[in-house]
Amino acid sequence: MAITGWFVALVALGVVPVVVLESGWAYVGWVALCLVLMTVDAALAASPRAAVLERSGPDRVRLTEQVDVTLLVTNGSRRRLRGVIRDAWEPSAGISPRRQRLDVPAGERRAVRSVLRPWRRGERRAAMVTIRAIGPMRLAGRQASILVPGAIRVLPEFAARRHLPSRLARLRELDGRTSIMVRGQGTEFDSLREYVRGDDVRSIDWRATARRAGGPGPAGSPAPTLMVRTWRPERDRHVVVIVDSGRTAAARIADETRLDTAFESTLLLSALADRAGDRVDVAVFDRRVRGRVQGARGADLLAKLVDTMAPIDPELLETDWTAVPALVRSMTSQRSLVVLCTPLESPGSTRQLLAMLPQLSRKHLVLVAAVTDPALLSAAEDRSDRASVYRAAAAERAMLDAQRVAAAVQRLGGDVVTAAPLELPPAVADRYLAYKAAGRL
Amino acid sequence: MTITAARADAPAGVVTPTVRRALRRWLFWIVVAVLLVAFAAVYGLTTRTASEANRFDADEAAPAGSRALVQVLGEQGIDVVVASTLDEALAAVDDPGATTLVAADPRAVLTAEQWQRLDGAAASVIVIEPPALAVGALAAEVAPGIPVIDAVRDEAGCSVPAAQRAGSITADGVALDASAAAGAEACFTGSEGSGLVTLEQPGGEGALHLLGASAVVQNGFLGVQGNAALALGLAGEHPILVWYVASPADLAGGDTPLSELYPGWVNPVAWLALTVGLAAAIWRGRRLGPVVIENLPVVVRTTETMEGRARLYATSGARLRALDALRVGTLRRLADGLALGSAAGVDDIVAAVAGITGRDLTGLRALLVDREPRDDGELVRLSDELLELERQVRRRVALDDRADGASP
Repeated sequence: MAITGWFVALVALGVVPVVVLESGWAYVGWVALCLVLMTVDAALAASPRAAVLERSGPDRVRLTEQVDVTLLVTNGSRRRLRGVIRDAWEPSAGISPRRQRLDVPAGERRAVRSVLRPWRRGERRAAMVTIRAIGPMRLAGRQASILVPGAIRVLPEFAARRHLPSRLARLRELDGRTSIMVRGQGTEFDSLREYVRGDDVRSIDWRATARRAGGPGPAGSPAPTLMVRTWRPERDRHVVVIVDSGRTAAARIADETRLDTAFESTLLLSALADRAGDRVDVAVFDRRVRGRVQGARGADLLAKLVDTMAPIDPELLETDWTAVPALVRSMTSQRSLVVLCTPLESPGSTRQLLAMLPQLSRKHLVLVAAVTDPALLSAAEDRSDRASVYRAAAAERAMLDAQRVAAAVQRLGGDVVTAAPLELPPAVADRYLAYKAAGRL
Repeated sequence: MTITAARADAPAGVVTPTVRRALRRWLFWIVVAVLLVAFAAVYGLTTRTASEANRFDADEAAPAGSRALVQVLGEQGIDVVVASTLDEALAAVDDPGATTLVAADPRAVLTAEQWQRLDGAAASVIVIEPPALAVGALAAEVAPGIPVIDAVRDEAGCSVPAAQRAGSITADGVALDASAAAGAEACFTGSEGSGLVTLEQPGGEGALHLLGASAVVQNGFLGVQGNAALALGLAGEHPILVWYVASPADLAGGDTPLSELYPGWVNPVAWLALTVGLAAAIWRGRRLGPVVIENLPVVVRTTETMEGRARLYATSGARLRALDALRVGTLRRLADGLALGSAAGVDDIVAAVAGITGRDLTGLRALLVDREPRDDGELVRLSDELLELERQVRRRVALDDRADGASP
């Protein structure tokens, strides 16, 4: 049951008979009349329970993008179904409009379209659909909520993908496809090709040139075609990314949790490494493996990654770093680049990480990608009054702690990248390219 | 791509209960509510609480009323007339010589002029618990009473026959002081005053009884001691009894009730407005389906440890510790800016800074290492000086870089 504003207006209209008749019985009679009309109107409304509902729409959407969803309403009753419908999604699914008018003639079907603009990553569910059918006099109606399950997976935004083209260009420069043909450590022979103007003369392979010309020719014969060697960076290396989803990853820096920043970094690095021909394996870990992507390549890799990451939220647990070496061993047996996405904050909270690090760095190249908080920097610079001087001192202290931890990581054979949330993904990608160029993989 | 295709025609899909199911679910509570209302109604009808307003009322059965006394007098053959206004009471007196007029004013509505009209109205006028106005109007020499509770007087101590017959009474009510009144009989006199004062009516024939001990006419006390004897003796002296308890209708100008001052539709319209408000509340309050709940992840602010530490520094006055943290940060940035490398010690940095800025070495060392702040003001000053030093070094380094870039 539900009443409308028209019913309230009808009750208010009772002031006319009450004033004219100047009697309490006029009031009683009018209210009774209103109640009768309301009951009759509600009884004449179409039953919302007889409606048949079907959902349709995509099952995935990237965060910050919007998607249309459709709800098909079939009127199963013999009366015209007119009223209001609400498709109840979780609040962070961001449905609009919240409620819509509905007018379905008896036995027919109509589509109710709405737009989802989710503002939180993860699995967003639709709880139910509520229909309020209004009677022909528009005084009262019948209402029912009907369970129509539906869900949409909101994938990570991957805002760092705008850094990808520039990094891919750098990768191509490293690669043999451009004319930089300096042999370096960590490059392998790619091919021989003809010299074109602009090539480095040092890359000319004289022996191949001689072979091509068929031996020393007579003087004055046409100049032999010069051959140059091209080199390309080593391929088929292994990159293992371990994302820490424990207690410290729940912290929110500049409107983004550390876990989201770690995901952004992982996605950019994976996309880049995959194009560079390396294998990428990712595990999200706190005290257990929350998500794992192994052996995927190409477009499949990114799809699998975002799909795995979407529903993962940080757990309020201390990450069990002692189990990480075994996890890495289970993912790779050869020497690999192991990227640990975890904050480096205070010596106390990273003790386990530091204790475990030598086991990894003995065999692998270890890179720790840590988010720094820009709020610390700004707090350290603000010295306007007494309270802010103390705050600046605390911020300096925190930064000093982070630096000590970073220094400890470096002493234990790891490498560290720290940056603000938006800068971390490109910084990690740049470090990867630097490794690639230096052949350290 | 379709997420799901759910058919809702199965009854299991509907969350909202039908009217019948809702009624059945709420049946217990509806029954409980109805029973409570019925119980309250029955209880309210059977036990009327003794409210102060109905004291001495001839129809009041509560302990503070006087129904028992009036009933007994009626059974004894006394002709009892109950009046609720002064005019009514005076009109009821047909034969003043054979009438007892009992007057009480528990709500204190009568004025002195109205009390004066009782003078000479009947052969015996009894004023129960006389207020100061009544005493002043009818017996100016008697001092108005002070309240008395839990008092029992064992002896009449006067020549009024009814009082002598009664013997002992409960004197609760007010005590009157009749010592200054000539010709007054003061009965049941205690330390606070007398329970009953009898005297001649000032302007006419007949007796005036000022009954301060009002408990004797109340239902609750009628059965104890000689209360009944005194009350029956006083009120049953003459064959006709006019029992008058003043009501709000006695108020001056209270002839027209309030309801005649405004038009008849005001009350129904007020009720209608209330109903419209209720309907509007139901209209706006009926939500379109239940609220959807969502589990949100925990949100942790990163700066909490920093803020906590800052407050700890501030409350414990750890100025040196705070300043040292600032100094370490400054030294690190200076070392970075001067490209001294991570191995540079404090002395190297101080020397390098002194070299580039031309500052005094000891003063610089005091600022960067030695000086201990004595109060917060000095701490803030030192921190400002550290910032100023950093700025200066940055400026010099930038100038040098430009000079280096320009010279070759």
